[in-house]
Amino acid sequence: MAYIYSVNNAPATGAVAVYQLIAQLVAAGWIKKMDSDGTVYSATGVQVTSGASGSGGLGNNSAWIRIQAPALNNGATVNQTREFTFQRGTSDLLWRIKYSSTAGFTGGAPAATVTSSSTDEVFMAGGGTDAAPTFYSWFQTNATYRWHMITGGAAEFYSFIAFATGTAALAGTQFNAIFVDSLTAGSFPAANDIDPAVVYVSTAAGTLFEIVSSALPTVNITNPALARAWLGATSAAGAAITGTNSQNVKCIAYGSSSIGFGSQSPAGVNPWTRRDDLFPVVYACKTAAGPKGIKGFSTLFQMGSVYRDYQATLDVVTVRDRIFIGTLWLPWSGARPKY
Amino acid sequence: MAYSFSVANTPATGAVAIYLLISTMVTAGWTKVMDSDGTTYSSAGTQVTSGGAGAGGLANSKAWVRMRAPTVNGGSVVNQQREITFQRNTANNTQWRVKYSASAGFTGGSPSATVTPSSTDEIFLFGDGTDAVPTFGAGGWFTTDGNYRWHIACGGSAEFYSFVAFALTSGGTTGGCAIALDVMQSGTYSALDVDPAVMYFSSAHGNPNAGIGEIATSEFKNLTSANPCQGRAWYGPTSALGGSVVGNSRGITMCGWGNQAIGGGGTAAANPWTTNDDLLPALYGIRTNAVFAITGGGAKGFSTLFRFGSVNRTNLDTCDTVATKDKIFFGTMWLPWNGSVPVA
Repeated sequence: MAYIYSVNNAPATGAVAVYQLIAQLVAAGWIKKMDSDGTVYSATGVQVTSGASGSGGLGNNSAWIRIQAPALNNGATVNQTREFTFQRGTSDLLWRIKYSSTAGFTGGAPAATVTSSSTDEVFMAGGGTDAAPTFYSWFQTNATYRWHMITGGAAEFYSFIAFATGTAALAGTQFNAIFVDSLTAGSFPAANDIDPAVVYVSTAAGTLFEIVSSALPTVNITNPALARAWLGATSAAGAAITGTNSQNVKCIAYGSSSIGFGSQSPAGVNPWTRRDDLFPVVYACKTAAGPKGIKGFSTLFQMGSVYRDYQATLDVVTVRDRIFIGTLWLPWSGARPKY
Repeated sequence: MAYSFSVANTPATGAVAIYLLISTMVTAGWTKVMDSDGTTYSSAGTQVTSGGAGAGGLANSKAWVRMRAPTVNGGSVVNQQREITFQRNTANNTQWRVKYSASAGFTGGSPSATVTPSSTDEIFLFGDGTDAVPTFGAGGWFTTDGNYRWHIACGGSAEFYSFVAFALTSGGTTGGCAIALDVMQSGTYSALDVDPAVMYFSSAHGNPNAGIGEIATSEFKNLTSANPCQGRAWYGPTSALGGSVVGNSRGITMCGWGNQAIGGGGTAAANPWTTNDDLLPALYGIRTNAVFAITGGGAKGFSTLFRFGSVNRTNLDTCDTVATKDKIFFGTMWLPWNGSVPVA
C-alpha cells in the first residue's frame, strides 16, 4: 500500500488534530488497542470516537489512546509492532507521548486517567509517571494552524508524519510535528538492528523538523525528545537522558553548514533535465556518551539540490507528489498546499 | 567482471607506471587502439610493448598510446566508448600530456611517431599545446623516478570500466599523483547525460592528501582548474575544448556529509550494531558561485569507485565489505582494493 494523505486540515483543537492522526493511522493499518475519554477506560480501544470533549472524546483531561502498528519483519525483531500512547493534559495544547518499539504498552495499571506502560518505553513528550503524568505544551493556539498527515503502508514500513503549518499571518511558519521514519531496506544491519526507525516529536515551534544539520548531535534532548533511535538494546528509558541506548539522531546534510544540500545554498537543478534532484537522507548520532554511528537512510525524507520556498511542491512521479518543508522534501498528496 | 588489480608496484619510471596502468586497463577490457614508441607509429596499437626505453618502449621522447574502453550504455550516447591518450614528455618520465574523449574517439588529426591523434570532443587532463607542438604538464605529475608505489584498480562491465590509479611515496603514506575515470552509478544520473562520468587527474604530488583525496571536499565547488584538470565532467553537449576550462566541461568535486562527520576531518563512529565502519555513497556536483543561483551547477551522480566512511581512518587502512580487505582508505575515501596487505 502506498501513502495515504489527509492534508490542509484546519482542526479546531489539538485534540481534534491528534484524533485525526489516530484515524489516519487506523486507515493505514494501525490498531487502536486501548483508550479512555478521561472518564471511561476501554481495554479494547473502543471508547474514544472523536477529538471533541465529553463522552467518547479525546478533548478531555487525561484522555488517552494506545495505538499499535502492523507487524514488521525488516529488523532483528520478529513481528515487530511499534506502539504509541497519546495522552491529553489539561488543555488541547498539552500532551504526553510515549513510544514502544517492540514490547508494547501491556503493563502498568491502565485506567481512565492512567496510560499503560511498556518495558521499552521512551518519553517523546512529557514526563512524570503514568499515575502522575506531566505534559508538554506541544500544539500552538487552537485554530491557528493547518494539520497535514501522511501515513505509509507496508511498502513504507508504516512510516508516518504529521505536521502543522501556520495559517493567515502565520503562513509559512512551521509548528509541531511527529513522525516514525522506518529506515530504507538495506541501509541498516537487518540482522542486528532491533528497531530500524527514527521516531520524532518536535518542539511546539517545530523549527523545520529540527533534524537536519551538518553537525551530528552529541547530547540527548528530552521533553520533547526530538529525533530518537535505538542504537543498542532497548530498555525502559522513560525520560532518561543518560544510561540509555535511545539516542538523539539527525539527518546529516550534504556538505558543510553553509553550502550544499540541506542548507540554504543550492547546488542547482540538474544540468540535463533542469529539474531538482532529490537525494537520500542518512541519520546518524555522534553522542559523547553511549552508542553512536550511522542509523540508516530515511524512507520519508529526501534532500534537494535546490533550496525552495516553504511548502513548494514538486512533481516526481505524479503531480505535486513532494512538498518542501524546511530543508527536506516529503511525500505529498497532489493537493495545493493551503495556508 | 569485477575489478582487475595491480597494486604495490614499484615502477622504476613514470613510463613504466603508465604502461602498468594501460596493461591493467587492457586486462579489464580496454583496447590499445594506436601507439608509438616515439620512432615508429602503429595504427593498430601494436608498437608499444613495455614501459622501457628504446624500440617498443613508452619511455621515449613523445611516445604515446591511445586507449579505448569497451562499449557502455546508460547515458544518452548509444554504445559510448571513452578514450584516453597518454603521451610522454621529451626528456623525462614525470611530465605527460593526457587527453580524454567522452565518445567521439581520437580518430582525427595526423597521428604519427610523435603526434597524437585528435578528437572532436577532446579535453586535456594534463599538458597543453597542439598535437604537432605539444606541451607537457609543467612541474611534472609523477614524482622522482623510483620513489613511489603505484596502485591500480580497473573495473569491468559491472563498474562501467571505471578505473583509478594512485601513487604513494615509498615507505610512507603521502599521496602522490592519481588518475581516475569514475562512471556514475546506474540510476543516479539523467538518461540525457552525454557522459555520466567524472574524469580526474590529480594536482602535483607532495600534499599528504593530494592525489585522489583532493576530489572530496566539504562542499560542492565551481572549480576552474586546468593542467591538471582535477575533477572534470560534461555538463552539456561535448565539444573540442582542449585545455580550455570554458564550456560544458566543468570542474567538479564530491561533497562530504556534513562538516564534522563523514568525508571530513572528524568522525561519526562505527555502526552501533555491527561495530564495523559504514560506507556511504559519494555524490559529485557543482555549485555556481552565485548564492541561490538555480542553474549552472547541479549534481552529476553518485560515484562507482569511491565511498565515504563513518570513521576517518588512516591512509592505507583496509576494511572488509564483501571480501577480505576489499576497500582501502585514502584521503577521506574508501577505494576498491584487492585483498592484499598494503605495503608502504
